[in-house]
Amino acid sequence: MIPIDATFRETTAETRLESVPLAHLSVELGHLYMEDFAAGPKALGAQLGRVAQWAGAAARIDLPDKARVSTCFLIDDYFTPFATPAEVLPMLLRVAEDSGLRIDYLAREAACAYADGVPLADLVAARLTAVPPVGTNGSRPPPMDIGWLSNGERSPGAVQGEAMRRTAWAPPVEIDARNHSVFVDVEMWSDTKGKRLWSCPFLAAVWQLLRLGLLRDVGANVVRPRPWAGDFPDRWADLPPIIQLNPTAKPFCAYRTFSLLPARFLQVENAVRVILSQVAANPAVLDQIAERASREGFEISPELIGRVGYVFFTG
Amino acid sequence: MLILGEIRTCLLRNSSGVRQTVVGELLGLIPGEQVWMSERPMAHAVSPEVVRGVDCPLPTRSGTRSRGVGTIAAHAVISAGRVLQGSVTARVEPALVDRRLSWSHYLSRPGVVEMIGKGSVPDVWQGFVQQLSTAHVLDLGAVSERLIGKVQTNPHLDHVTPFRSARTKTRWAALANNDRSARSCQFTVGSDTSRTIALVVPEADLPDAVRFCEDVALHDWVLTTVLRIVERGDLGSGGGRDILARLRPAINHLMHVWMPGAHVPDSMMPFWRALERRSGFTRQWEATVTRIRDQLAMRVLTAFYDEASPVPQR
Repeated sequence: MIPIDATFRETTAETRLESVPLAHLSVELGHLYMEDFAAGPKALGAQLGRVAQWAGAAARIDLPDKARVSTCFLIDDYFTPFATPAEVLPMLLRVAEDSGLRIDYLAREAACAYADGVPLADLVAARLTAVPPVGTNGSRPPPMDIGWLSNGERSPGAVQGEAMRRTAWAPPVEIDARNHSVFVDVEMWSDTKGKRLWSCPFLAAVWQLLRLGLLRDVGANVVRPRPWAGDFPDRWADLPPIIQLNPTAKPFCAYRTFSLLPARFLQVENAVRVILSQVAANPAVLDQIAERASREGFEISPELIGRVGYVFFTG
Repeated sequence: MLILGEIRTCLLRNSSGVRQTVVGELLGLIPGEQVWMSERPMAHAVSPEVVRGVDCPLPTRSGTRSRGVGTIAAHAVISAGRVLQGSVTARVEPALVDRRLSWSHYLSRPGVVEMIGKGSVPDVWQGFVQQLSTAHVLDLGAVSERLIGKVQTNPHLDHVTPFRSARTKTRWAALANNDRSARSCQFTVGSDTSRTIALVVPEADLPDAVRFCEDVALHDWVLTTVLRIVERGDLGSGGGRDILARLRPAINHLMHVWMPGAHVPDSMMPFWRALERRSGFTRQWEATVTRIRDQLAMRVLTAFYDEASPVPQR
């Protein structure tokens, strides 16, 4: 007798995991704040002129011959919403073009907190897995969620406050330090009057994860760049989270990211790396991307921070 | 390679069984992550995996020092909208270098604890199962307790427990061995509430061992709980109404939960069958359920005849 092979499926018990189009490299050409806009087109032109020189190199190094490279630009409309898209964007695009840069995608920083009804920053915060000090065996709950994340152990004096001042002070310690510590403590958010304000490094970490194609909402893709035709509106919120300016651009998400930033962003990006190195990404998404990279013969680091590159320039 | 695990099994703190939509809310431990829900043949739902970092000694039978660094994975399971489990695992692999690496390295392998030091994988397997704990050793049970606590305090529950039941602790370890003749499964009932399962399985089946141990822990809890209800019910005494009141929790909340192997991968079914042969889980369950039904039938008949005509005295 031949055995009969029966199959039974329940779709709610299956994993849904959308995959996203991927370029090899996503190059961030800049991050525009109010002060940059206020400094005028000339200063912005000087900055983007430097970016253009590095951008050429970034699009060649460690990439295959016909690499898919896309460029993006982030505008702060979260902390200090300034001017209007109608005022800022034509100027930005003109200056970029004069500097020899082509911006494929334009993203709003507020969209790193909340995009198309999905609380992206919350999704990332829920995936934080703090670096464990030696002796962490699971018996204690992870440190209370206070909106701060460090790369080590805080000084006990700093945690216990006034009443405990008499206990011996001990320095904070960086975990994995080489001989001496470089202790970094990052404020990820602050809550005032029931409203959460995400910090710039936290949103920048979300921005990196978005570009790396690692975020999903119940398995669904959360990155949907939309084209924009015609005049720009008077309110930032009327723009989609990510606008595709170049119709023939390579995909927004990429196996690796590269950011070309003025040196004043060094602090923020160091904080971004502290956060990224403590994000436990969804293993299924990690596997999906690793598998696609290996099928293309493109090597990527298994560690997230190994996929994130920078140039910081002065002047 | 080796998987260590701890499972806590208890009754969901709600006066009645919880509907699948509410189960989805209870198990949504990570926003934006999917809860796996299955309705057949028995409602079964699994939360997304919560990952936590550890750097602590691993237990060894020989007493050799062994340090584990990496992440453990924890999820909650709700069966039949009634039974809650906190299940925590650590996949133990020998580290390639003799020191701790950067944290991002460990986060690229969620659920894996790398073993640094001279201890061997079988040594840790035995040490863990035999609970040879030294101070500050890996404590998966505490993580499991916290996970359960988090689900039990969810405002979607009414926090009323319809009957008394104990929380069971199942500690298990599965060692990989590709020699098929080495396959084994040892289930030990310790004190009232503690159990251990020691498994030897082919390496490819190692991940399936998690679901198997959860299923064994679930059925062990259901059987233990029904036995206690029958014990407390003191079936030989009291009137029909009393007996019915005492047995009602078993009938209302537990009898339909029995379905060994329903959500267990095929690769682990031979282990269930082997375990059944030795421990007689289902035989004991059927005997108990039959006893409950017989009692009820007898009470019904007695009541019927009592009403129709008094039973002649002998």
